[in-house]
Amino acid sequence: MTDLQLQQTPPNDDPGSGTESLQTSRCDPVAQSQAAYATLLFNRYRASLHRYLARFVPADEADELVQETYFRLLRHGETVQLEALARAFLFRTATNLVRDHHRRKQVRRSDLHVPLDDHDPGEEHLGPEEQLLGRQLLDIVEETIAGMPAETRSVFLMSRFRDMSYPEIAHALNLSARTVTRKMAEAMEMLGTAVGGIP
Amino acid sequence: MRRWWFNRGVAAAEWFARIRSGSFDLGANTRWQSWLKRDSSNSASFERMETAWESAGLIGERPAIQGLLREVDRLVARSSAPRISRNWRMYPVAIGLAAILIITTSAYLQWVSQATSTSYVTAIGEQRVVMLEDQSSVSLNTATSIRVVYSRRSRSVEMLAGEAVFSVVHDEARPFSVRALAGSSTAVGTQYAVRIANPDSIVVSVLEGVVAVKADSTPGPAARVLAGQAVSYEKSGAVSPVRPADLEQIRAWQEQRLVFTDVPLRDAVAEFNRYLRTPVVLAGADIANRRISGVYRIGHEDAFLNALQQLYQVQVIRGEGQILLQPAP
Repeated sequence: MTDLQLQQTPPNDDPGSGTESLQTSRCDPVAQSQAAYATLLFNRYRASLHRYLARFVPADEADELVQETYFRLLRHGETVQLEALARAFLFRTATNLVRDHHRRKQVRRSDLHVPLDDHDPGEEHLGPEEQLLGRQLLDIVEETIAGMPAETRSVFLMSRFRDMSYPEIAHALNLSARTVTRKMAEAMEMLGTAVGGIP
Repeated sequence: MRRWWFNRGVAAAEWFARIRSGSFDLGANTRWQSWLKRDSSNSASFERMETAWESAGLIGERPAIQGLLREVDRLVARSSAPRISRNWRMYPVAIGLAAILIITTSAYLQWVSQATSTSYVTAIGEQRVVMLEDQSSVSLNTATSIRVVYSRRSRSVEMLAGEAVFSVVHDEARPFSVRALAGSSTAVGTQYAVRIANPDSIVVSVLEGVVAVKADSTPGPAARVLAGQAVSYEKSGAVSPVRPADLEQIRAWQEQRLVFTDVPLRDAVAEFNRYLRTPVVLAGADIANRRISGVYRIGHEDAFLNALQQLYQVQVIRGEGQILLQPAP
């Protein structure tokens, strides 16, 4: 019977002033319904996020990063209206966490500067599993990007690393917005196929 | 290019590309989700897109990618540099003036037409207060759905269901207007409540200031409704005379209270049911016509039902999907 989602607002001292009551009860209900939405999204994508994170970190640490992703979503504040964008936010957050995680590991294990995205043989000081985790995947992604047709690659790189919108890319490459969408899909298809071949 | 539609991996890539296009809307979002759910291999191939995209983000510092990015940056720099042909240089003033005219006109048109649209929805039993970008606020009651569209020239809200109180910040240049059914209520700065009382009838109650209420199909000037007054309009276009507003009811729900003063149980239960997922149902006209009074907390239906049981000789039978009230034996 008590599955209602009513928030408890503190009793109002001045019930005569409607504006006051709006101001005082402003934060809680919004935060609450956002938290409920965040939880819903999180439960829906928990497994996907774990699968993704487990490519780069050991399973138990992936658990922790999945939790941390959820906390970041809660802290994000504004409600993401479209689920597709919310999902993209979750994955982006997870990726940032992977990056931080590897940086921390490197600092802890050695004073040698060995970035995750480097082929430097100095990474021997990492644990054996960690050396392998994700390495092959990242190599394949790099090769695939390098092997894309020039225009397709430019579209992808501008979107991925320069945060350019499709209209901005269209302007820079003198293409139509539709063509940019198509080239982007082409790039993603190549990457998806390459990634699909890796266990 | 036809082959695009025949391969699952391609469909996933298309969806992924479209989501980032900036023109992905609610309808597309719904179609994307049903595509995902249609087949587990659809969601697997979409997950591959995410893995690929995010993995790429991890290798941005690799020398090979850095090299490719330098090429891309050159392309961007070249496209944004001004290009003026020789012949046109003969008329710099004319070009300058034309450019200024074009830029200011298009900037103005863009500025005027810029509109943001946001939807807010509450579930049954849920209430929420949202702050709009101009610091106006909306207090949404149970099962309410509104869409807010702000542009440089107007602030408009479309109300699809439920009840809400609008506290509007004064802005002479941008009137604030709530559309519900076939009519609208407009204010410059004030506080007022709009309720879709039944599928065909809207009640507008004014707490502060003045609101102009107009049904689309009724000719003549809008009804001016002052603080403490209310007016109703029907889908058919009929507008009621101005009458005193039931401000107590509006203040009460904002404080999670329901106030009944000598009303038929039928009306009290209908009001309470707005907040309940499992509705209360009355058995028989006799019980429905009994009159009750009292103040109850929204969401605390047990207290309401206990009071009925003890004070009004009503028996409560909790069943699957409903709560039945019948005369006590």
